[in-house]
Amino acid sequence: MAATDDSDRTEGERTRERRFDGLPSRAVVTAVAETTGQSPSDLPPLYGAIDPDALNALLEGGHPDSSLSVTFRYRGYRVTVTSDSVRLCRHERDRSER
Amino acid sequence: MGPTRVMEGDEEPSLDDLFACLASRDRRRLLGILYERAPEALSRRDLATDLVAAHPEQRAGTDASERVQRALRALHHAQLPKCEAAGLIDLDSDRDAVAIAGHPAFEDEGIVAVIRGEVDAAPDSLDALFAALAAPCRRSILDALGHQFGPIHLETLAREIGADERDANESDVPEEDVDRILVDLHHRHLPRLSDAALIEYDAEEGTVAYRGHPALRVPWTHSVLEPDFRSSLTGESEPAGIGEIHGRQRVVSFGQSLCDRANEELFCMFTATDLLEAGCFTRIRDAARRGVDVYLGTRDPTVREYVQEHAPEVVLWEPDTNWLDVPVAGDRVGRLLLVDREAVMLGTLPEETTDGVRGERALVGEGANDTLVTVIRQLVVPHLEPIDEETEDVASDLPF
Repeated sequence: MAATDDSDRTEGERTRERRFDGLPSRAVVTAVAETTGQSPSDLPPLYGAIDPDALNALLEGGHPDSSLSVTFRYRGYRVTVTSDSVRLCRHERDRSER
Repeated sequence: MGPTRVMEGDEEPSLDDLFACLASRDRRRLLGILYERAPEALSRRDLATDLVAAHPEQRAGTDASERVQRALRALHHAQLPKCEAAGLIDLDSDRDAVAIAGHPAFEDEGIVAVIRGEVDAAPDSLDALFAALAAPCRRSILDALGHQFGPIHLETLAREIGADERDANESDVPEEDVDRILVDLHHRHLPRLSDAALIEYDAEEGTVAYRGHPALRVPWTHSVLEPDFRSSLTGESEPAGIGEIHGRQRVVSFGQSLCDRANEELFCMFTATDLLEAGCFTRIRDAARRGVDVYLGTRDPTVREYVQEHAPEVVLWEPDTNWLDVPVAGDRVGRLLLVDREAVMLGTLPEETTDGVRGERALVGEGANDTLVTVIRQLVVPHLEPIDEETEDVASDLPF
């Protein structure tokens, strides 16, 4: 759990970042669903990747300038969540996880 | 000060904090020690020493004083602030004194049994149970599922939760609400409830069913009875005498909490099969398993078969439909519960059962000298002996 540094992004890695209001757990699911073109209910439960209650408790309603961020893997993406943004980062070699 | 949280809907922070606190074995232990020592206040070091002494660690190579130090650090940085924020302890840092607080939770015998370590359940299973209860939405889910007989579809559940949130009809819940609730159910709430073994979630089929936990008590999950739960915990208005309950959900919920509190004898009768929901059956079974004499009257062969298979301790009998019919035109008795011969619920169904869901109502009576309890006891108790004898007859027919 640390602020990630993407300045050394390599070729073949694609990153998408979006801002959100509301619950971090919902924002992660929505972001992944939109990126993969799946319905949120067709994705495997986020619960299998990270405890959504813990994620929300850490990030929900926090100060936007807080340096706190949480990074984990879900559906082949490296997901980095702050109190108001979700960043999905995909490595080519992770394709097989889909 | 704790982190600022965005409250959603009718979130009940106090219940959430209570259950979140109980979701840790260390905190249950420390609350148990303080409860036993009440009203005495302990220093943090004494509390740490008691914790270590009461639960000798198996791990070799750590001496007692080091373990006390470790317990002290955990108390200071984590456990005590969390318990204090939930209002469960009074912490006076200047005087270094910790004592149990006057929280209504300590008037709930189930919660007291849990913190005193008297509940026969694995610590992990209790952690999972209380973590699952520490969210209003999950308590609503358990409440809703406890009123269903079999598995229901996710979308049905989502609509019910949405209606509950908005206090509206299920058909009036906007689609975007249903979608949002579906996401929360699938990704967050149902896997956790399933991990706690409280429900069965079939993600493939999109269905969910109630399972229950032997330590789970009805008032803990109740959305509909929450004000009553609070007042019963705080002793604000102890229900006395005869009362009336309207609406099927409330009737079912009250009946389930009566089953939960049975200590010696539980007498139940259901005239229609669909009145016996999964949550009811789980509680009747749990009562039988904790040694309560349970009599269940039903004519439905499916229910009888199910009970014989899953709860053979329960004494089954066939109600003679005439003997409890109240001679009032139209309505008829739907369900009857008599608990420890001192609390009664008598539910009646309106004649038009098409809208029976909303029409059910019940009379409840409390106390050994209550008029309703006395009347029902006089009606029922003479029937108990013949029921017992019948069972013995069946037993004596067996070739020994």
